[in-house]
This record gives sequence, C-alpha cells and structure tokens, in this order.
Amino acid sequence: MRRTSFLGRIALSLLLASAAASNAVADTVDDLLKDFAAQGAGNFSAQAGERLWDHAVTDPKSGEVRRCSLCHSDDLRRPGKHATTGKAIEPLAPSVNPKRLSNRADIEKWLLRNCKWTLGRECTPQEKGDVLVMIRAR
Amino acid sequence: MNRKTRLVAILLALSAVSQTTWVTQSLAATKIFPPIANAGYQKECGSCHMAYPPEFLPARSWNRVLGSLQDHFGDSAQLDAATQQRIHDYLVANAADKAQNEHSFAIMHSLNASEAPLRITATPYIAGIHAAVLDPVWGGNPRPKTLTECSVCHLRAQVGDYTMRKFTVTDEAFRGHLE
Repeated sequence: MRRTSFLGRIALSLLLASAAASNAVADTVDDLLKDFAAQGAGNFSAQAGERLWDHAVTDPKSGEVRRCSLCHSDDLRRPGKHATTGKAIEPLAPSVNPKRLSNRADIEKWLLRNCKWTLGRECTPQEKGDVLVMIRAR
Repeated sequence: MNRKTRLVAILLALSAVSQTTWVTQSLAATKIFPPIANAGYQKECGSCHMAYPPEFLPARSWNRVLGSLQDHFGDSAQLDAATQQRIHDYLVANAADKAQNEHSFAIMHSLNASEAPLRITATPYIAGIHAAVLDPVWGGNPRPKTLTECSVCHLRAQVGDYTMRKFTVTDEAFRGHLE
C-alpha cells in the first residue's frame, strides 16, 4: 500500500513536471506569436513553416546549397549535425526534447543567426511565427 | 614532548613544506588545461563547436574573434552585448599570454608579436603538430576534414588533457616518422 502510494506520487510528480514543461513551451511560443502579430503578422501556419523549412538557398559566397535540414536533419525528432563543425545538435522537437522552445532569448538568438546563415537574410515575423508553430507541433 | 618526538615532528613539517613547494611548482606549468569556468562561454560557443580552452590563443586573438562574431568563419555568431562582454573578459583573462601552461608557452613562442591568428590551428605550433593529419598522404583513422573537434583524436580533450591521443596510421612511411 505504502509502496503503491510512493510510486503513485512519483508518477504524479513526473506528470506534473512534463505538464509544466509543455506549458513553458506553449507560454513562450504564444508570447512570441503575440509579438509577431503586433508587428503585422498573423494566421501562423505549420504548412507555411514547413515550406520555409524545406526552402533551399544557394549561398553566393561558398556556392553551398543550404536548407534547415542540413544541420537539423530531415526528422526534427532526431539529433542533427552542425554542417561545418560536425558537432551534434539535440533534436528540435519539443515532444522528444522538452528544453526546446522554452527559453525566449534562445529562440530569438537562433532564429536570427540561423535565418541569416541558411537564407542569407533575417526572417520576417510571419516566417518566424510559421516555423515556431511547425516546430511546436512536432 | 621529548627530544626524539620533537625531531620527528620537525622533519615531518619540513617534508610537508618541501612537498607543497614541489606541487606548487609543477602546477605552475602544466600540460593540462583547467576546466572551462564560464557558463556563458560553454553555452554560447560550445553549442556549435567544442568550447576550446582560452589558453590556446593570445588575448589579442580573442579580441579579434569577439570583435567579428557577425561573420564567424562564415556563420553569424551574434550575441547580446552583455553576454559578449562576459565571454570576452573570461577568454582574455585566461589567454595563452597569461596562462601558466606548457602548451600556451609553446604557442606564444611560435607567434610573432604582431600575429593574432583567428584559428587555434593557425598558430605555428599547433599547425606544425597537426600538419601530418591534414596531409593527403596521411592514411590514418580517424581522417578529419577539419580540426574543429579535438576529441576525435584527443580522447580526454573534454577535461583539458591533450596529451592522450588515439589514431591509427595505415601508411608505413608515416608511422616511421611518428615513432
């Protein structure tokens, strides 16, 4: 009896912890989407995010064809690999990596850097919102 | 306390002092780098590549690296100003020209005062040691395209130890050179 209630408590706290983690993702992304909406974006769509994700751009300096999956792999639930250094990148999908999309400063930093590297320009608020909605659903 | 015990105590104390001096001296110049002691550096720089020990480059090089993060070897590594300043201060305070480390001494010795390379592998000391690995004749395993990830060959690089290496040399002539 005592043992079951102990296990039950562990299960409950695990459940609460994972709920808290997914809430953190939802809150952080929702806050960002609100800000993007205030900048004129709206109707964020995972399909549009997917299209941007698959969009390939040739880097004029190196001649490399770049797309998001080059580093993040084709499956967001799996680890990726940095295109230049080869260092492992943890999965982006919050369903397998709850740390993802939980820190606003990190999201903004990576969207800025990685849009610049991959597309050769910063992403618009609409594009950032679309991609976030797409990643959140994974 | 009788005379004998006093003598033993004095001898013990003396040996303790001399041991401490010896330990301090060997710590003063070591081949092992201390662990990375800056969470911001580990997080911001270490997410794309290994967070290299600051003792690998002189302060003047770190100044250049931190001053050109918008184009960091073709990638944007932009940081907010406060984070960038903290990382800069850590790297400069522990740079090769300040470190009491045998590798750092050798790196500094190999550089002209006017040189401030952006890459660790562009310092003559490190470049010289690794020239073989990047030579097309090298038949070794692993066979790196670049030298960004030290731990591929230096199995204890993550704890600052570059003395231990692992590679297989298939080319006999090369093996002869190395041994």
